[in-house]
Amino acid sequence: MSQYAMVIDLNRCVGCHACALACRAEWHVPVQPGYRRNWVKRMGPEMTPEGMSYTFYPGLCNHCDHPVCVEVCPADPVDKVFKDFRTGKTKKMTVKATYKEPFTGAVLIDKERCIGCGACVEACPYHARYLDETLDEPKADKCTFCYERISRGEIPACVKTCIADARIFGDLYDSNSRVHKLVHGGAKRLQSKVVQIGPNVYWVGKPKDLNLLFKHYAPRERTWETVDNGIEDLGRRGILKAALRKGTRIKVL
Amino acid sequence: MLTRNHPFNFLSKAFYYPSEEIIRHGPRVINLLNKDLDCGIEDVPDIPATEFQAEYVRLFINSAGNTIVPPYASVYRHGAGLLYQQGYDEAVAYYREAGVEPIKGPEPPDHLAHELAFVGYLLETGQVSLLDSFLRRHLMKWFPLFSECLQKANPCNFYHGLNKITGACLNTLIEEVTNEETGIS
Amino acid sequence: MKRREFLKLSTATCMAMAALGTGGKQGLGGGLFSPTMADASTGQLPGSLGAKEVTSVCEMCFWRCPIVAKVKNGKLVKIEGNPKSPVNGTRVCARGNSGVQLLYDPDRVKYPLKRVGARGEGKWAKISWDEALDEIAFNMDKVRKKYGPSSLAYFDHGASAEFLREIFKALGTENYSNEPAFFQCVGPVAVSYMSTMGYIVSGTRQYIDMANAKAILLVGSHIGENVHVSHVREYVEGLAKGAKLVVVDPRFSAPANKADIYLPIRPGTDTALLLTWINYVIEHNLYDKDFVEKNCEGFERLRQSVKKYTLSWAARICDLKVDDMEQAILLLARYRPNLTIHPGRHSAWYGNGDVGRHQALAILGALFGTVGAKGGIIFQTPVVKGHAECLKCEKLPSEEPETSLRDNYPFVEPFPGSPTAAIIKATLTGEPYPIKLWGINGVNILQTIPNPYDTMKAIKKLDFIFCEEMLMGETALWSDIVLPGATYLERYDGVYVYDGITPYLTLRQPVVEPMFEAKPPFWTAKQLAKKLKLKGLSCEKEEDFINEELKEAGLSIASLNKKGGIVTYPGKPYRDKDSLKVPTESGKIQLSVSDFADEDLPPVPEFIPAPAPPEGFARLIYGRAPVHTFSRTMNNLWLHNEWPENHAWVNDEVASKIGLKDGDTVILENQNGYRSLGIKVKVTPGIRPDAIYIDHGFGSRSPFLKRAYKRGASDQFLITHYKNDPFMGASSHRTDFVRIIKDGKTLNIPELVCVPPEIPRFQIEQS
Repeated sequence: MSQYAMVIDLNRCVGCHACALACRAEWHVPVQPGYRRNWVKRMGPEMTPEGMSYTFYPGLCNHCDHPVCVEVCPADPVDKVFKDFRTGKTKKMTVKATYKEPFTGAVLIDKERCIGCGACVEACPYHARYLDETLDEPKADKCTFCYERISRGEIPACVKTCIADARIFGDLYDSNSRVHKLVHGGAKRLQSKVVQIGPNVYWVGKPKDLNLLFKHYAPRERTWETVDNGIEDLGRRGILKAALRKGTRIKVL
Repeated sequence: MLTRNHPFNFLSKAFYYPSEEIIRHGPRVINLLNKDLDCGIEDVPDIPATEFQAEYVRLFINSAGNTIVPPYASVYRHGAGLLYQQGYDEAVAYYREAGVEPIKGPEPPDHLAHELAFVGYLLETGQVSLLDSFLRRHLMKWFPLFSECLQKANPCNFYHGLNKITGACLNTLIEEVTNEETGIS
Repeated sequence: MKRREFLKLSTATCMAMAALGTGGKQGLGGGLFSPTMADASTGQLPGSLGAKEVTSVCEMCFWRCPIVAKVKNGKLVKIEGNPKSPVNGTRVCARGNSGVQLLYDPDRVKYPLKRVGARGEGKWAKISWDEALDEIAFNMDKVRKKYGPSSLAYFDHGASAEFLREIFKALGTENYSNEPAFFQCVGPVAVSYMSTMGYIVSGTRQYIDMANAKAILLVGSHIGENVHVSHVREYVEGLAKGAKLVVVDPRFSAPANKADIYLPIRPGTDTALLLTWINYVIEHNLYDKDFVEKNCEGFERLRQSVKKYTLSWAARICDLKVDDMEQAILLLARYRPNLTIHPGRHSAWYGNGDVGRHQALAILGALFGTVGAKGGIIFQTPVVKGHAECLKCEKLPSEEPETSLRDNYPFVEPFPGSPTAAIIKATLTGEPYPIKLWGINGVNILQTIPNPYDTMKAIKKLDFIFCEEMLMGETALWSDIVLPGATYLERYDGVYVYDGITPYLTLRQPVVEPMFEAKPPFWTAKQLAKKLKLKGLSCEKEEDFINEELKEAGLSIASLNKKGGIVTYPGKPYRDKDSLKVPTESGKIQLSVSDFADEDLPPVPEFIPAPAPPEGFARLIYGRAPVHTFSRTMNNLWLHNEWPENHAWVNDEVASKIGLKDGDTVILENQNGYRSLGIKVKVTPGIRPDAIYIDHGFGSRSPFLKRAYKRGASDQFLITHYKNDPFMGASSHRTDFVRIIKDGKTLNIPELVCVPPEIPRFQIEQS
């Protein structure tokens, strides 16, 4: 059992935005409103019950245990063989265009099979996905925990550039990993009473800073429940799905 | 197969910084092309050299405000907004496929002038299916955006005419190439 | 298209095109292509994986982090830190990551441009390098002959600007190298430490050891908002190891959030607090007596002169609580000598008293015995590097001017060049002599030097102005000739050595060829020297002088590259207090500086109050957005996207009294009636009611910077009143006041904190 996770230490973070830029540089994320895999939002200075706080929300895809984005993907499931880049073990699974990779727990997108309908983008309560409409055929995109890099022995681009060493990445199930220790030492994940889908990004920080983070950014809407996946959807997604049912691929211009 | 009388070498040259020859004769060629192609644009008068060059700099080199019109595929393709991104890679891949490479100069090879000259080359050498792909999957994915920006920049008559005529030539060409490719003639 | 023309072109058209050499079959692809030689590219790994790596040095700011550029098929795809670097490793900041955007910005200055309209109109023709340099050489020669050598002035910033500086020096002017670095920024702090400790503890670099400090004091320094990677790393490291942090700042900055004690001080009263602390430390015997006896001079003089500064007095002056001030100094004292009293960096704040403020910080550091101690002020470890003779340029015989622009400033000596304010004044007034030609390299003088309105007026008086730029900033807009400069990714500069805690030697080198017709400044200077018939700059190419500089370190470009582009050396930062010898004349730390007294300046710092805001105004304070450098990155696609505009921080109580809401767009008006562009308000309890804060560098007035143009407000365009530091002539930046205009209505800032009688009020000049 494996689940990659990230812990972000707000005590170290200085809010420099290097992570967001390294990610954009590594993955050529186009500069369009809302297009990013990785972000830094600034909060405060604001009063909290624990004192004045001026802190940051360096965020990315949570690679959730129960990824609601995967649930809503309308693409037809196909069989796919996955390989563990550490052990070489393989596993066959039936997956849609977006899925949870079995050996890392990373939630990934098969760009070949994504129809660009945007259902997953709407579903994510963390707004971690965007639909890249600059492509000739739009596709959903988001953080992959730099799967392409970690599977080749590199570390995620944001971790590699973090000037304050505030981002700690590793396998949550490896009891020797720093991530494991920090999470078991009380690192917090962004959840609320209404939204509990098992995010795998955690934060440590002063109570006042976590207070502000949760106040402003803990998700409170079950966004995935309102994603319209019915046939009556006559919008772009409906057309895309109709085309999908007929087994044809259509080009979206 | 058409080998001689295509305007793409002219259009290519006209999208470079105006040489003395273009300043002197360019407007007349635009007027002739306008007549031939029935583009319905206003007659382009002769333009003094300084004005001509200053207009080129304003439009294509270092322009003012939001009207800047960089003539490079890379800027427009996939919303990159930058030089040497995916649009550049695409152009270079097409050149390679055609067996040519751009001669090194100060301008990036996805400059519109290069791409138009390349269209001319494909016409001259009869590489129709490559031309079809180049137009459809690359040039015509960005030229309309470029053309729109140029129009919005309120260009002088010459660049207004050049813009319209280039658009007309490319549109006619793409129709012809489709017919050729699908066997309709 | 079989055997028919796809476009029916008339014979006349075909003939006309043929006459232009643009008929069909004019060379391969219109003469723009050749048969392919290159191998088809093979399957590529995603992202930056599998790229060729070229080591170099960043210049998105002037901290100069060692980097590796990742290049695929001649294209720069990514920039990371040099893993062999002891200071940043694989890390670069947001700006470092965005260097790709500077290189590939479609708005770059691409060719030499000559103004064909009025100055500032933005009408240009593209000309050849030869024409451009002829024009510059002709004008330099003409102005020099007509008005004398001193009529030439050169504003520059950065290593690459030094080549052209040689030309100005050779022509006989001392009005060069007016680096914003000295005269707008580090001048006062450099003078303080130079005079107290004998070396520049804080100038371009800060020689302090935060990583090993047990406590850190920051006075107005916002580390993390001001991002210098190794500096931030040392600070974070220190905090992570448990260092206590005291932050003094009128605004709740990013470090204030991490502080154990935060003191929201009244702007302009920092020296009052520091002198009070010095007095407290002496009176309560909290200082290191042994250290002071062994290593310091002037203690008695200091003790006498700080006696009057008491906590209760400071409480009134600084608007702080006695208890908080006392707790803070006790906390710091507990950890001496492993204590960082941060010297500060940008210190051109109020004109009067700037040197004194940093002198007080130096004194506090000395009293606590932090000099040479772990966690304190460290010593430099010189790194051997040669000097290339071939870079020198022989000076033409020139008469010295009767009056120098440096004359009024007794401590300007260590700084090259003349104070910027004096050059602008001379250009405006013709006194003491006319200045008629400006050259500019690597600095946007309108967004850097106070009162840009005067600067613009001065430009109008010039016979000729040229600049070398990468982007069309405001200064380029006003130039007669604009030269396209190569970015740091396209050129060599000199050899860089770092003499701090982990010394190293590295090299900036081109990672790709220059785009368009951009040229490295060395080449430009060399051509200009030829045209001006100057003797010197004899090396053929950059590699020659670099290899000459490297020889003394036993290296060459090739061998350095083989070692990963960087060589490290053991550092010797610490000293034992018993054998401490600072590089002052006596080898002792000067708690009282007699050199200052010799020039009728106070030998021991005194509190000189900065005038309080006039009624209805708040003091304008400014700082850094962590993703931007000065005013030079605001147009960078990625950085602009990350932080497109600045906000005016307004205290929440003030806002509610004058009816301002978070996100409202307002205009700031200064005491002289100058108005900013529109700026959004950020309402927060994290700023004092008597100050308004904005990030520096926004509000570009150059329409050529399409993204940055008119985004946010420019602090510089609101700084129209300034004072010059009497020691070295730096221009003050915190001596202006603003009020708010919303929907055309002027909103006076209510005075929520009363001003004590000791602090005079700023008098608005009636014009």
